[in-house]
Amino acid sequence: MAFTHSSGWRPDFGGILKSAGSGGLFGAMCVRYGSEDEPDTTGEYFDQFTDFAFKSAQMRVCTLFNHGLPIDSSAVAKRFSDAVFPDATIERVEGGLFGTIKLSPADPLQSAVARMIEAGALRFSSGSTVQFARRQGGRIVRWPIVELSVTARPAEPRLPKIRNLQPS
Amino acid sequence: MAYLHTHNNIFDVINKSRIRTAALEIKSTVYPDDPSIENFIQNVVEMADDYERQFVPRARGWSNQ
Repeated sequence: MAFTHSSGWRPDFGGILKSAGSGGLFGAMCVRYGSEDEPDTTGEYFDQFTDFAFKSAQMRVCTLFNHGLPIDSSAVAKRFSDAVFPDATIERVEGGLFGTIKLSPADPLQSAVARMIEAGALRFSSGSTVQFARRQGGRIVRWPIVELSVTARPAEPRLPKIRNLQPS
Repeated sequence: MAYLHTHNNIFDVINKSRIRTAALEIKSTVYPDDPSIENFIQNVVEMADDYERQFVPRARGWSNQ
């Protein structure tokens, strides 16, 4: 039989919220428009006419660490590459797209990502798939974003570092 | 019956040509013990520092900063 608390019962939090580490709301530009003369490090660029397949003013996509690719051969790197983090929100802003993610301090991997962000080590990088993406020379014509990654090495070095949007 | 693409899993199709990450040199080091999350964070911070030195000065010279 399921246990039922008496009416008026509240969990005993002791009146103080405990945090297991860093967390919070973080964001930065995740796509920056370039040009033929100023492509990214892979020789490509987005512009204001690139079709990101927005179905509304905002899109939500899952967040990965470095596009699911481990940064080295360690077991902990594999843990991070296998993790799927909370959905990111992406919206258009002047000059590109802006991404926002909310990380929980109670989750050890999310908390670690938050600490890397606070150390200024991570930027956003968007991922699409072959069925969706279309290119014309260096210009990316269509790029429906299927995942947004946090990475230390985005293709676009003009992207700013992800920052805390709710600094204490 | 719905057609199930055999190649539409994002984890299968993500590779260098479809993602927006600069080419990454996978370190060949295999740690004797699993490094802690603390070590991993330090590795990522160092990787970001290398990236800053390698790419960011070039980007600063671009016009639409």
